[in-house]
Amino acid sequence: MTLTKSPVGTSTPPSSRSGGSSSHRKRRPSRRQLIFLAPALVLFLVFQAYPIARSLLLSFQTRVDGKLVWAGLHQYERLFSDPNFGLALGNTLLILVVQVPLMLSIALILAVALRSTYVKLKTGFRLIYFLPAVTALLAYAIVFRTLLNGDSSVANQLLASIGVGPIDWLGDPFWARVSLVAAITWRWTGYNMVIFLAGLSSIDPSVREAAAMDGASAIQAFRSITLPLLRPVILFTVTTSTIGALQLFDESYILTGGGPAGSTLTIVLYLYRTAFKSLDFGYASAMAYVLVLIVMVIAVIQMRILRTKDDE
Amino acid sequence: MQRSLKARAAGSVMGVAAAVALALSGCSSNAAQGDIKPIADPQSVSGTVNVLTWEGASDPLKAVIPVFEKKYPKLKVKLQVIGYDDVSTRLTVGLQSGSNLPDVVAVTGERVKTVTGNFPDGFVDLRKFGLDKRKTEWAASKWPALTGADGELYGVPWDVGPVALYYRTDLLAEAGVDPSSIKTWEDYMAAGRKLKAQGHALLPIEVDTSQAYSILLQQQGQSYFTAKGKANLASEASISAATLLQNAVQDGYAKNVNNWDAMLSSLKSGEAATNIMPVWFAGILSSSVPEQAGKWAVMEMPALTAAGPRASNQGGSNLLIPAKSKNPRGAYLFSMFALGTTESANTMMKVGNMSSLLAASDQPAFKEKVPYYGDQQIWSVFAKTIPDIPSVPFTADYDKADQVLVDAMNKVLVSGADAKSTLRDANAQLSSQIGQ
Amino acid sequence: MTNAASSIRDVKHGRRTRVSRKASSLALHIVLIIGGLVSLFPLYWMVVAGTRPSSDIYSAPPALTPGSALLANLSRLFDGTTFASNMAVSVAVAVLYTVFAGLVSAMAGFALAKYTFRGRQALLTVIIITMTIPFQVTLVPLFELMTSLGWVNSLQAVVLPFSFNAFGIFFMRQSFLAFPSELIEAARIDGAGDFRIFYRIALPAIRPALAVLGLLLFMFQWNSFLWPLLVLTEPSMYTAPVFLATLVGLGQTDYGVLLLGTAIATLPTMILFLVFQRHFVSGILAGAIK
Repeated sequence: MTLTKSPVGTSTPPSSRSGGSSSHRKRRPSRRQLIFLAPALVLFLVFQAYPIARSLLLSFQTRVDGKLVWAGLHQYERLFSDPNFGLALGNTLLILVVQVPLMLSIALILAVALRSTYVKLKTGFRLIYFLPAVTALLAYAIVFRTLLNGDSSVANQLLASIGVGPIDWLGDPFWARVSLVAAITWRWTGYNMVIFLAGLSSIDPSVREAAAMDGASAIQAFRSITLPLLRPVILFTVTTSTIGALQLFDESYILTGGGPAGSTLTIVLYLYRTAFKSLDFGYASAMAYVLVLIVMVIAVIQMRILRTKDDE
Repeated sequence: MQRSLKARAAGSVMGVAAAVALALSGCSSNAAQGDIKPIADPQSVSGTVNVLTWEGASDPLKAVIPVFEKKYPKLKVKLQVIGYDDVSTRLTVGLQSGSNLPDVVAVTGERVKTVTGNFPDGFVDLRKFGLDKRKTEWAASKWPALTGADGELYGVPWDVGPVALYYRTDLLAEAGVDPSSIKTWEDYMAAGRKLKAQGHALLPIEVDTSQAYSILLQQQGQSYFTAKGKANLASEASISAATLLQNAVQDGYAKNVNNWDAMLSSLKSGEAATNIMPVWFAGILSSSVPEQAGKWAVMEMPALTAAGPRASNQGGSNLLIPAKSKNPRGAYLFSMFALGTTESANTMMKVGNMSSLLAASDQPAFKEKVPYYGDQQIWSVFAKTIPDIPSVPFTADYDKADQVLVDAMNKVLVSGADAKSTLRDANAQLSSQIGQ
Repeated sequence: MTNAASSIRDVKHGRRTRVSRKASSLALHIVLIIGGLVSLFPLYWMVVAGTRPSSDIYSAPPALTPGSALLANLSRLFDGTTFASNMAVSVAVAVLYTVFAGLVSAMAGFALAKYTFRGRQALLTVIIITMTIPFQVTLVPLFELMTSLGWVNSLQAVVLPFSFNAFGIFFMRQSFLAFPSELIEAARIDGAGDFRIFYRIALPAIRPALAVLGLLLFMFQWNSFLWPLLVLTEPSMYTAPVFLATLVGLGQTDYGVLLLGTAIATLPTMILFLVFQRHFVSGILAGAIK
């Protein structure tokens, strides 16, 4: 192993390593390093790789008279001519594009605000914002359904008090989507806020003090110092929220049932119905892996935009 | 270049995994089949019987289990109660993986063909136990769902869901409507006009299910599929059912509601004065709207044509025995005791569950005066309609059809789309989905 | 912000007067309070619904004040049911899972962040891909595996399969990225072994992230529903969410009991949050460098 000397100090990634080509060549993992990875790998191979392989196989099969037979790309071809799949895909992408940026922006602002010295009772606020994420899915969906159901729902009563007419939160296609986005955002903002809190806490305060000494305003410091240092954490929340949005199921299932007229049908809800209601597992598997492909493409794009030098 | 240690290890584990996968897929042997023939010595059958059902459907079974265990001391029944959807999930996973299945499982009528169609070897053909000899004891309308393509009988019929008209006696009286005058749909709409003048809606229609539509469809002797299994959404009967409901909404007599909870809210607030619902709604109504006790009654549902039946069906379950059951004989004995004796039917009726056994309607519980419904003998009203319930075909594609129909009806009811063309499009979509 | 720094800033810019600071503080508080109310209200209503009979849920508009059915609902929730035992199972399972999966994630995340080796990027990509696969399709083969291993109705069936938690590994990796590699090199020069470095230097350095990881893993396992539903068939072994879901019938659900039970089931995670949260707001990286 070649020892290199690099500048000590801040936590920004080292811009260069002195020394010869030996430090650029990717090394084979030593045994010790493998041990770090071993538990994860074993668990992965046994409990993930096998089921994944099996379900992937299923996507190339179909059931004829109760027996599974090879079907080639038949299930995948079905997807192209399936209007429901297109509908589900459109809905899911729409929700993704609206909900994730909205939620992450709020989460980041909250995280910053709840570390500010200007704010009292920070612990209380943090708990209050985090609590929605802790609630069981079934119950919170029931609660939201009740709060949004009908002309005299609580939501509509609030609107009535400011003179706005009743909105059919769950029955109108547009508003049903709004309700879904609202429910998801309500639930997960605090979760992401907590992740950002941890990320912000890992930034060495002396860095920011130095910036303040140099005369940077709070916003400038945030933009040019904090945000870049937060990049790995931001990448994490963006990727995981994107995956979560693309895999949206529970809210759409319990709150709106995919309705009205399919306006809140998401891909995984359609997949669930195909697998567990119509018992068409082969088709559902094909759907799953097309979704995986889509998510991969989006995730790769996000990683490219947000990666740091360490991500080589 | 040498493959790394890790990659080689990965390769061999994958190899093992693949071998395991192949072995598992080949494994579907059925050890219990040899035992399946008419039971000559029921008292000798022993062991545990695991019964899987959902919350709500469990109460009737809980009531009969002690009686059963007394009669068959060597058998013990273990009742597993989980959520309705979860029964479906466990059953599906169990069938798909071939393991962890109960001895007896409850399945609603519309879903039986889906599970038996996709897993034809998944359930015991009860003819082997001699069920076919007793077939006529149950309502004819229960059998199409339970009968396989070659005449197999896949389950024992449990409860039936005869439909009647629930109405608020006080609100109808206020509006000057004589309940006995409602014999046809026109009469019903006329009542709606009078109720509307009093500020009440006639009935709430849930727009996220197909319940209202399929009640009217079955009343006309049809379902989503023809007897041959072709999509039937564009038939005259279908368009008629959709149009009647649409007109009711557009005339302001029927109110669209978002979901089940909203429907109950609508009845609770007095917004709607009647509802066309099956017998199992009686207990739900009385427990969800306890403050309206004494104000409700039931009567036969309106006929769609002058001579047409005033009967339809919605829901109703069955007990099926998975082929992988370890105690199929015990399972059969339990199912037949719980669902095939008038004593059990009587016990179950006391908790609001109406057996589909034709002889059951003579039982004392059926003549009970129910206080919530003004001491009316409501069960008799429902039971009388059972023989008139039209039998309709079901297929393994029920869920696909239901989803297509719900979306189409949503457009018809909520957006006012033309019923004929919307249903035509839905029919085409369904046909392509089921590969016809 | 230390007092010295902020007052120096004041002097330098003269921008932030006492009044404007108070005003923005007030504005901030108002926004936070409104947001807090939005956050809390549905939960408040859930607790209210837990104190009312089930039929009240259909009232339009729904009641907003606590009712008198709390004791009745409590007794239906606990008497003759397995709920208490299910809560205990949930705690045991969640704690076991958090410790085990946490360790696995931290170790793997560390290796992926700090060791360069061929195939590192590929491995990371594979991990991210596993996050994208909907559970609904892999659960049947996974279930078959459980039955062939004879693990149905066992603790390990609930804890082990998801101990490879791609989110956890990914999160740990991102958190370790910010940890300076120079410290590792320095420690190596001093003769420390890899495990020592990991345990004594790296882990403490990312304590905020570890606290969050622990919390999130606990939450994931606590709220996990579909998998325990399938592998646990013995009612006393159910986890809390599975028990609560059994209350949902076909058109008939005891909402009062369900929502009260959910409110109670929320408590352990809430307590854990309060215990852990001070960790994710303290910056302690400074200690490692000096």
